[in-house]
Amino acid sequence: MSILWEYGFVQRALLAGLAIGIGSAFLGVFLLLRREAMIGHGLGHIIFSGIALALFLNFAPLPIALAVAVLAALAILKLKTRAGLHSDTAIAIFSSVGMSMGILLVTLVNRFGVDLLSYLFGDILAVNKTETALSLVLAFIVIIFIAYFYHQLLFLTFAPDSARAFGLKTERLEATLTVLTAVTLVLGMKIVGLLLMTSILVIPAATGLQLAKSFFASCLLAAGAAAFSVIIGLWLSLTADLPAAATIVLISFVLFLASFLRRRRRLF
Amino acid sequence: MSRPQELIILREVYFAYNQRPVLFNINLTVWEGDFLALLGPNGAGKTTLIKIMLGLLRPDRGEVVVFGSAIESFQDWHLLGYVPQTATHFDPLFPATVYEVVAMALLSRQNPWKRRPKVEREAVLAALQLVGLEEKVKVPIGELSSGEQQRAFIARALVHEPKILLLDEPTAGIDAETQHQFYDMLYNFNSQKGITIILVTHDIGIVNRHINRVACLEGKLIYHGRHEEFCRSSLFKELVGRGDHVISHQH
Repeated sequence: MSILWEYGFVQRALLAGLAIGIGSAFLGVFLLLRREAMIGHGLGHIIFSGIALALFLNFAPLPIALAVAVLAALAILKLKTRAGLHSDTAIAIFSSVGMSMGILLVTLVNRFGVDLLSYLFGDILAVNKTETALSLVLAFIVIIFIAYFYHQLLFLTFAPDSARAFGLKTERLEATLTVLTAVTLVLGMKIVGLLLMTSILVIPAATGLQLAKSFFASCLLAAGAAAFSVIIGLWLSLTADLPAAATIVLISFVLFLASFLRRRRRLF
Repeated sequence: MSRPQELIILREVYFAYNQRPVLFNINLTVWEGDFLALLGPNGAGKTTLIKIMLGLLRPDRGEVVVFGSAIESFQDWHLLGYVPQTATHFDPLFPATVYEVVAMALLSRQNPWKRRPKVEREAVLAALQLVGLEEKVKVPIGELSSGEQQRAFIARALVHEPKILLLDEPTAGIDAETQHQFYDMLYNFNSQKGITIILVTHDIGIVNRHINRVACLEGKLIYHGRHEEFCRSSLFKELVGRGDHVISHQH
């Protein structure tokens, strides 16, 4: 285990991985219970178009991807609330358009090379100090947001009609939750890559939901599952020379499987 | 004796879904202390009317006044407790305990940095005690029976001490004996705690002995008045003639 704190680049990977993993797990619990698990996948495709746009314009990818992701997240929400579309329909529309735009721009710029691949597959061991700091700040913001609005978010997730009738600013809460998800995806793409980011958002949260009998316990177990997957996944990838992101995701899946089997044994 | 306060006033309320009119020029006043049954067949606009009273839907025309304020500027939503028709249609695997379900309403309005856990816990337990669920605090909500779930949602609506409780067909799918217990409980809230109750139902028989005011809706408001007068009306006789099970018993 000492390999995890012997080198600076591994320390940064561990810190950034824990920050993104725990932040995603907290957000994931709400997304899963709101039946919005696929928002990560949809926004991932849109972020791909943002990176392609940045490469096309020769700009830094992070700010462009961030702006595209936040705008798309808000647009999905508007389509859902104002145009009366189901969220999976709105996500599917934006996801397809995002992917198409990305492919078009990449073809135009003719740079489907290392730059783009690093965002699709991520490289946790290559995160720099700025990216680590940004990940920690984001995780802090997510935790503060969820702690402050915990009961409102729970009310909104469990009984949206009653929450609205109670006078809660539900649209504002939904918008903040969606924007934080978009920002987490953008920062997480450097760690596990866009293609695997949905799994970081979904699998630890699903593990927490399998095991817990209370909502609070679900959040804590999801964060614990995410932290365990990052630590063990990173350690295993370093010692066995395996790709880090894929190992982290597979460890989180093993945890989910164990929690699923445990729940089945409890139920039947 | 002072005149009861007008808590909700609807004036000439008209509402249409996608140009399909649902409510025509409704004039209705809810007085403090009322136990109002909002009756009508399916599709009569009962749920729509409740949602308008709660500000969840805006009428196309007309005026809604809640606690003396136009609904557009009304802020004190904690004065209204609401149990929607779909309250029990939640995911049964949702990992929330009965305590969490009741506390979510109380704590949503509080600044988390200024919490008083002991006071909050007492308030939640008191609400659960009112509905007889104090023994089920730690039980996941999905593991309760339908009747118990509905009582938990009443506790959630009561925990912030509302002046009005609005319930939309709260006993759908619940057996007759539990329904009677449930309406007896509501009657006690109304008569002993002074909570005004607006109850949407299409089953006049089951609520007949609990209510003191009736509003009948079929797009238009076809009756609005005191329960005793309603029992003497031709509409009541028509409902009885239609085969509705009616028990005439006053508390």
